[in-house]
Amino acid sequence: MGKSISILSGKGGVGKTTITANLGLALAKRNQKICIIDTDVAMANLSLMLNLQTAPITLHDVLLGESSIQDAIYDGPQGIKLIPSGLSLDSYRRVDVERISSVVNQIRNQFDFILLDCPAGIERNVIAVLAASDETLLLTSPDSPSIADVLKAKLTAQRIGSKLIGVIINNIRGEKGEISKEDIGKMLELPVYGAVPFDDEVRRSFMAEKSNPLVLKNPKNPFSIAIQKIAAKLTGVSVEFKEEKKEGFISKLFNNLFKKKRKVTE
Amino acid sequence: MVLSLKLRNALKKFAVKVLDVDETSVPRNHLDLLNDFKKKFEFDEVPHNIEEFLDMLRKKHLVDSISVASTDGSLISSSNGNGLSESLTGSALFNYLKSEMPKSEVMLIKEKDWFMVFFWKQKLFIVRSPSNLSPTELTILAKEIEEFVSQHKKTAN
Repeated sequence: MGKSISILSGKGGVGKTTITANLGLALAKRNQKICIIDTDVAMANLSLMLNLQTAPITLHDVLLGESSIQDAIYDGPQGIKLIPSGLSLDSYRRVDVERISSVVNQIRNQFDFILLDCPAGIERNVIAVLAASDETLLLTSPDSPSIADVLKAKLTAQRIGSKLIGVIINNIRGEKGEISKEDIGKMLELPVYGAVPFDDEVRRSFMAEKSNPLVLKNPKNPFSIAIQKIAAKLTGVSVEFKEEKKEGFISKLFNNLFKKKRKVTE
Repeated sequence: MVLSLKLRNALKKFAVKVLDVDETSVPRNHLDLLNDFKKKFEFDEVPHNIEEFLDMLRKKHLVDSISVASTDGSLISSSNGNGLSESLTGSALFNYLKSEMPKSEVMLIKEKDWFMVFFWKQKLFIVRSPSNLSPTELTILAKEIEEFVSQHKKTAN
């Protein structure tokens, strides 16, 4: 019986879709059967990140009762399955998001994990998704506006009775003004499930004709390592990861000069 | 253009690291504010009776009042202690609607505020709130009340 986990942040732009997509792929690399559902019926963009923008049948059609859920499941990279939401605004108003629970229950036996990419906010769409998930992972950036929103999201999840398993801190830049992991954990009264560093490569990984999530493109990148650690935790395994050291400008310059010199001497 | 931007960014990163020019600081006052906000939603106290429980539930679910009635209109309990007229009107309207539209589950009435009347395990729940709640929220609310009632029944027995 698969476990459904929603990724919730309250605030938009924190990285829900990016984390969900990469986490799904990292779990799939650990031989887990994964399905990712884009439950953001109004502002769907998981399909763009995973190259499924032309999917003919989407979650919209399923929630409208016009298609079967099995027809809306598509193959994604690394063997994961995806249920995209439609980009159309025509059907969005008519969809009954309350049906998401029955949709999740119909496919529960086919997967180990069903990841639900939540919409931003704490409105009824989010509430329906939370009610459909067994567990909730909160996501925030280490700044006060994000924490204010994730706190409200946490209170909403508690109200709905969703089991909160922890908080992932995304976009860590190491600035002095960032709120520490300890403070975030204490504020939300939850364990810090993962700390994901900011990396411009993440944004760039989606800036191509065919996007390539960073966990696949560069698994040794610190962002990818952090995601893989979260995936390992979810599967109940503790693993040591070797991180690729990120070179600074000066060391890059020296290394390049040195390498060139060495090539010449060879 | 791209090269100069890259160079500028690299120099900036270098300056920030070497010269320690990060002028940001942790906004402690924001955290204090959020901690105060959080305290308003702590519902750890164990309610002694159904009135206390309904009042706690009212605060938790951000609604104005919750009344529980039987289908004949008699009031079982209310969060505001005065839900008799709500239970009578609610049950009359709900019974009428149910006879006309047997498949209906929730009745929403907009009269300045929202009144939501729904049936769950032989009881009618009447929730008054400034905005309408989704069926998911109503079901969760009813489940919580039902759990409390059945637990208290067990301990009473």
